[in-house]
Parts: sequence; C-alpha cells; structure tokens
Amino acid sequence: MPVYERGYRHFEGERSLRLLRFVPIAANGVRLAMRSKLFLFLVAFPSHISLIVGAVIAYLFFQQLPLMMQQRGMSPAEMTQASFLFSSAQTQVGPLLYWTIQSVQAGLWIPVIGGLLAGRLIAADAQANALEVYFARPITRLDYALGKFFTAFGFLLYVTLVPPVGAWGVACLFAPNASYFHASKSMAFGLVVNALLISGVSATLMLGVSSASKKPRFASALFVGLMIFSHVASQILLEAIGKPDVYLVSITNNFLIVGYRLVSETVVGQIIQEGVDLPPREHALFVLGGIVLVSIVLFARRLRAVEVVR
Amino acid sequence: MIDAAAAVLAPPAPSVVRPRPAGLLRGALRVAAFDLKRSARSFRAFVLLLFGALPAVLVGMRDVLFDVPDEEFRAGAVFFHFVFFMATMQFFLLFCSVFLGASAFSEEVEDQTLVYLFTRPLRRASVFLGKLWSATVLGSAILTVTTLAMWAMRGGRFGAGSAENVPATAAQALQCCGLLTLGCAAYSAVFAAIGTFLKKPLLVGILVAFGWEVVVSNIPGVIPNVTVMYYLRSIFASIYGRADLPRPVVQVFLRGPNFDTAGDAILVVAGVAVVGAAIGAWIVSHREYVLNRAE
Amino acid sequence: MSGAVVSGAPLVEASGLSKWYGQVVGLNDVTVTVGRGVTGLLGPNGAGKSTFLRLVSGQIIPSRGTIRVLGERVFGNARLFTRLGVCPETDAFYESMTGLDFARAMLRLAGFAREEADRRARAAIARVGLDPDLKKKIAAYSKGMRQRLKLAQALAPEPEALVLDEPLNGLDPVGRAAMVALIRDCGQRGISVLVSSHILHEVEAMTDQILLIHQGKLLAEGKIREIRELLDRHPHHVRVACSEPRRLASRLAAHADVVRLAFEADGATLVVETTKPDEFYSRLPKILRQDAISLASLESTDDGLEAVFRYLVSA
Repeated sequence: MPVYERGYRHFEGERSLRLLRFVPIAANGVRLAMRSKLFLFLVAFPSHISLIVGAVIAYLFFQQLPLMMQQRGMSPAEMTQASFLFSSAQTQVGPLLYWTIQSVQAGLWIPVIGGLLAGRLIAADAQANALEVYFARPITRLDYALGKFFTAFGFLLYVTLVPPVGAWGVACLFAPNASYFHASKSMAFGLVVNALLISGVSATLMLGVSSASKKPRFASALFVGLMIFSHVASQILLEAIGKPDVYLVSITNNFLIVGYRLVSETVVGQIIQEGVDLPPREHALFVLGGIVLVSIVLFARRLRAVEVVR
Repeated sequence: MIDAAAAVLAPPAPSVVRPRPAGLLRGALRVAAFDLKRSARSFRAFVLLLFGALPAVLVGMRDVLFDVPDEEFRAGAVFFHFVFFMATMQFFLLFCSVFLGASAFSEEVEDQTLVYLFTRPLRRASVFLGKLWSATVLGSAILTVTTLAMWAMRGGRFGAGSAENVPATAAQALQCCGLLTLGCAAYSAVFAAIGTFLKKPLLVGILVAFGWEVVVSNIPGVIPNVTVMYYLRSIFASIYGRADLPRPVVQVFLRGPNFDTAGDAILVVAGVAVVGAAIGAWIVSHREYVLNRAE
Repeated sequence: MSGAVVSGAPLVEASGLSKWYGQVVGLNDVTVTVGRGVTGLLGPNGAGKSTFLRLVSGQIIPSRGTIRVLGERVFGNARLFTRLGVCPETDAFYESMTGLDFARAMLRLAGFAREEADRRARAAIARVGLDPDLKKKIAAYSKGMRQRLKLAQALAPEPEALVLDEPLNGLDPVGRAAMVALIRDCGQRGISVLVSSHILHEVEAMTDQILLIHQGKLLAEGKIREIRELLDRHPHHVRVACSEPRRLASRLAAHADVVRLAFEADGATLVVETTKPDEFYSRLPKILRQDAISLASLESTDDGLEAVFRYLVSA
C-alpha cells in the first residue's frame, strides 16, 4: 500500500562508515559511566596519587642532581649523562620508578575501576532488556562488542597510561635539559605499549565476565574476584614452592612480566640482582593470550538479543 | 477447575481465621528459609564453590605437581594451615562475605522484589534479618565444605597420601570451620547493614574488605585492633598454638599482641555480628525504599 | 487506637496526605475516605496514582499528613498484611521460580502451612487463568502471564481488601475482560478493592465508584454517573470531515445546542462544539442524508479521560 503521508521520506542523509558504527555505543558507555560521581571521583583523583608521588620524586632528584655530580667529581658538561646514569639506580628517577607506578595502577586500580565498570558493560544492558533494542538497529554483535570494549578500554588506558607517562613528562620538565627526554623516550614508548596491553587484555576479560551474567553486581564481583584471587594464589604458591613459574598464575603478574621488558632492560637486570627470577616473557604472553581467547569465546556464546529460558 | 477454585475462594466468613503475623525471629526464619532455598541453587553459589575449591585443589595437588623445596612445607605438616590462613581466611572468607552480605538486602531493592516481602505479614526487620541469615548460612556452608575438603586432602595426592605428620586434627579442622562461620556472620552483618542505605554496597564492601581489613590489619602497633581480621587471627592462633604455625604465618603474629585465649576475640567478633545485624534491622524498619530500576 | 483492629472501618482514610521526592511532588494534600467495595483510582500517567497506592500499601512514608487502611496505621504494620493483599505495578519477580512455587512461597511467608499454601496457590493461579502445573520459569512467562501471577499472589491469602496498581497492564483484550470480571467478582464476594487505571471504560466495567487524581491532587470523587454528567454539561467537541463542510455548518448553526463552529486549515474538516452531544449525534445523519453530503470521518475528542481532566482542571 503506498504511503501517502507527506512527512515520510526515505533517509537520504549520510550514514556513518561501516567501520565506525561502534563509536556511538562507546561514546554512550563513557557518558553513562561518567554520570556516577563515585566513579568519576575515583578516576579523577585517587588514581593520580602515584603520578603526584612520581612527580615529587622527580623534583627532589633533579634538585639534588648538581650536588650528586659534585660529590662524584663530574663536570657540569656531563649533566646529560649524569641525569640518566643516576636515574638508573633503584631509588632515582628511572625506568624502575615509572614501571612501579604502572604496576601499582595495574594492580590496584584495574580491579577497582574494572570492578565498577564490568557490571555496566553488558550485564546492565541484559538486565534492562536493552540488548533487543540494540540489535533492532543495523549493527552487528561485533559493533556492539567493539563499542563496549572501547568503553572499558578508554578508562583503563587512562589510569594505566596517564600516571606513569605523566610522571615521566614531569621529570622531563624538571630535567636540566632535553637530553633526559631523548635518553628515555624509548622507555616511555614501552610504557605506552604496556598500558595498551594491560588495558586491552583487562577490557576483554571484563567483556567476557560481563556477558556471563544478567546481574551487574555479580559481573563486578567476578572480575574483582578473578583479579585478586589469582594474585593471592600466586603469592601462596610462591611462598610454598618458590618457583618463578607461579608468577604466571596471577593475571596482574603477567602484565608486570611483559612490562619489564617493554619498559627497560635495566629493570629486569635490577630485579634479577635482588634474587627474584622471572618466567620468560613469552610464557606471560601465552597466558594473556589464553585469557583473551577464553573471554572472546565466552562473550560470543553468551551475547544474544533474546535469552532462551529453559 | 475454575469452579473448584471458586469454591476455595468463597467469600470469607465473618470470623475468618488467618495466620497471625510472625514475631521478629520466626518471621526472619521464614524469610531465611525462603531465600536459602533459592540461593543455594543459584549460579553464584556454584561460582563461589568453584572459587573455594581452588585452595583445596592446591593442597591436594601439592606433591603431585609441585616439587616443594622447603622442608617445613614438604613434611605436609603445615601446608593445610598455611593455605587455610592465606587463601581461605584472608581472602575467600572476605570475598564470600562481601559478595553474599552486601547483596543480601540490596539485591531485593535492585530487583524490585522487595515489595513482595514488605507486603507479607512480616516485620521489616525480619525481612532484613532473614536475608542476612540466609547469606551467612550459605557463605558458612560453602566455606565449611571447602575447608573440610582441604583438610581431607591435606596429606597430598588428593588425600591418598600420608597425613600422619599433619597436626591438623579433625577437631582443629572443625574449629577452623567455626572460625570461618563466625567471621562470615560478622562480615556479612556489616556488609548487609551497609547495603541497607548505600546504592553500591558491593564496591564499598570490597574497599572495606580488601582495603581496610587486609591493609590495616597488617600495620604494626595497636591499629589492627579496629579490624575484625585481627580477632579472627587471634582465634586461629589459639586453635593451633604458635609452635605449629608455618614461618610466614608466625611473622604476621609477631607484629602485634594477641589475645591469650580465644574467648575475648570470639566475643568481639560475635559482638560485631550482632551490632551489624541490629543496625541493619533498625535502618530497614525506619527507611522507605522507592523501587525504581537503578542506573 | 493505634493497636486496635477496627472492623467495618473504611478501606482508606487519608488526611492532608502529601508525598514529595526531593523537588518533585508526588501527592499534594489529599484528604479522602475510601469506603468498602470496589473503588477505581483514575488518572493520567504521572498523576500520582502509584504514589497514593504505595502510601496505602505501606511501601513509602508520607511526607505530611496521615493515612490509615482498614482502621490501622500502615507503615511497618505487619498485622495489616494479614488483611490486605497488594498487586504492585512493577514487573519484577523471582525469575528462576515457577509460578506455583512463587505463589506458594508467598503464602508460606504469610504463615500458611505447607499443604494449605499449596492448595491456595493452586486455586489462586487457576482463578486468574493460569495453569498451576506449568513447569515454566517465570522468566519465560509472557507479559500477560506475569500480570496474572501478580494478581494471583495478592488473591491467594483471601485478604479482606486488595490494592491493585494497574492490574490490566500488558493484558490482551480477552485477558482484560477476564480480569475485569474477576475484580468485579471479588467485589461481589465482599473483598474491598482499590484498583488504579488510566482507562475510564475499563474502570466503569468494574465499579461505579471512582477517585480522580491529577498532578498529585484529588480532582473528584464519586460515582461515574456523576462524572459523566459533568462531562455532558461541558461543551463537547466533534470533528467532522465531509465533502461540504460549509453547507453542513450552515445547517448546524440553526440549532441552539451548537455553540461554536470552526473550520480547520485543510478546508474539509469542521469542528463542532455542542452542549448536547446525544442530540447532535442523532441529528447529524439526517442532515447529511437530506443535503447529500458525504461523510469522510467523524471523531469526538472529548470521550476520553483527558477531556474529563481538562474540564475539571480548567473548572
């Protein structure tokens, strides 16, 4: 039957690119998450404490650098070498400091921020029966998954990238000249790559966990439980057995193992000197790959517009 | 069928006999029985059981998969207590209590099913207490089952190994279960009370459990006295005596004073459980809950 | 007085009852006595019906004023719920249970013995048209089944009074008719019912006693007949689309009950305002036939509840 209503027109405007259909979903997810004052507070303030600590350490170090050079009989012309040479020591402004900051962010704030977010990703949509609404639009499950992935990825990347790279940036500003920046920029690149890895794997795990239940609080608890429990189990095994392979049991430790190499070779050397042996990076990557695979399989099986109740 | 139904639902006679409204405790028992029947068969109970089974698997597999270098651990004498202390008491108890306790009452608000409970002839405090007791019983049951499984496998090789040198007697294992039950009651009461007035009790519960309880209880001095975990450790020490404890566990106890007997510690923990339950019951009795779907 | 059960007391006695949620006023100074029998609570969406029913069922506390149900105080009064059954508006259940399990569990919570709870649950579920032996979980129920189950759990303990918040939501026309008949039947059996809806003719089928609520205020209370008379005194608007609206207008203008005539922008539709709609409707076909005017459509904008409210609000 022809449609005579004059107000009706076929849409002749521009549609978004096929590849970008996940963007509104991600943007909406970010917007909704930021409505929570508690979440906003946690992301904005406590998660930057390590950045402030790193900045203070950098300030104190570069304040004392001329004195340290004088004590070692170095001339002012050697300041470039001195700033990076001293910063390789354990307590100074070097790769170990930034890697420690990133480790703290991954170990503490990933479970907290991730725990808050995990319930909001898919479980909340399933609880509100919003999945039917989503899939009544011209989007695929992949678009939906990418949208939710980037919602989580964005926040996690922020808390794992901004504090360590921010602290490094501040140190570059406090450094006497640009040589500190040039000498350490490869390390900064390592921080960025490690942050991407941590955020990517954590966001995928959150997707898998969030699709496992229609109850947001259960999804949150499951994510936090997995992160913390794996770490506790690793600590117990380490205490009882002492073998380095048990580090791989902890999800967080896998991030740290990969991060060692990415951030700086020097860091690995230092840790080894203290008597702590680490499993090979490839083993950690294998474990993280397994986590991603299991999460994707779980998500693919569980995500349905309509749940069939038997 | 409709005629038979109509006959049953005939107009009430002038002196219709209806059940009297239940008292506080009887009403709470009714709610607890109702809730336990549902939650014992739920997916989350299964997941919690899986989490709790992992320490038992660790204990049972220790000499199958792991070459335990430490003489003290290899003797099998202490692995049970060690895993119990580190994994079950300091992590799994908290995790179970947070998850079950924080959602005990708040879940009814979030799912908007609270109206059905509040429109029965039950006191509002009974509804809260019943949900709390159900969470405590379920949590204690899961903790007890997993602890006894761990104890059964303490000899290694999934229990087939020799348990002769393991000083964890059956009495001590049961005392450990009692310790967990007491801890679960206290923590669940605290987190359930939090759940009566906060929209996100699970997050606050996690921060309290793993932030406050774990971190503060490891600070030297008298500060740990304000945590429940401190008293639970005291009870644990009295179950075994320091001589039998593994080295890393002893280090924890060296940090601060302990009670000589478990009696005082038990009183404190029980007191926390009672006070938490009382506060939660009072809040629920006086607060209104407008049931809208939370964001 | 606070502890006594007053037999024969009205269903609801509210005095100066107000409820606000922060800045939003849900109910504003409502004073009303709802007697025994079936009473309809009418109002558009957002009028305050659910707020009033939540106050009646003790789910929320009044911000001001007092309320008594069956002569007893409401909030925190467990004894009241031995006499009162509530069917809430929210579509929420323990989804993993079957319908019978749910109804039975609610009766067990009310203190009925196991066998009695089973018997009553089966009877109530059958009464609302569901199959008591259905093994399906509530999560798999349709909207209509869920609505019926809500009513069943309220009916099962045979209360003295029922509070039903939008019980017809989600039901198909056959289901709605059955539910209306059930509610009417409850009234005839001596159960007092306070039922809310925003559809006038459905409430008309259940009862002749109604309360009208609008923007948190009680607009009117009384018999439907009286409300209808109010409506009839108010000029009635009729939109007539025809082939010759101007000729029709000139014919209608001769009659005293037609107080206003207006033409719509399309030029083919005439809006008539009449004080005697019954006479108008019986006169119109004759005029159309006599003058050979083709009728395209005929629509009255004043038959609904909104018209009643518009009139009452403006009055």
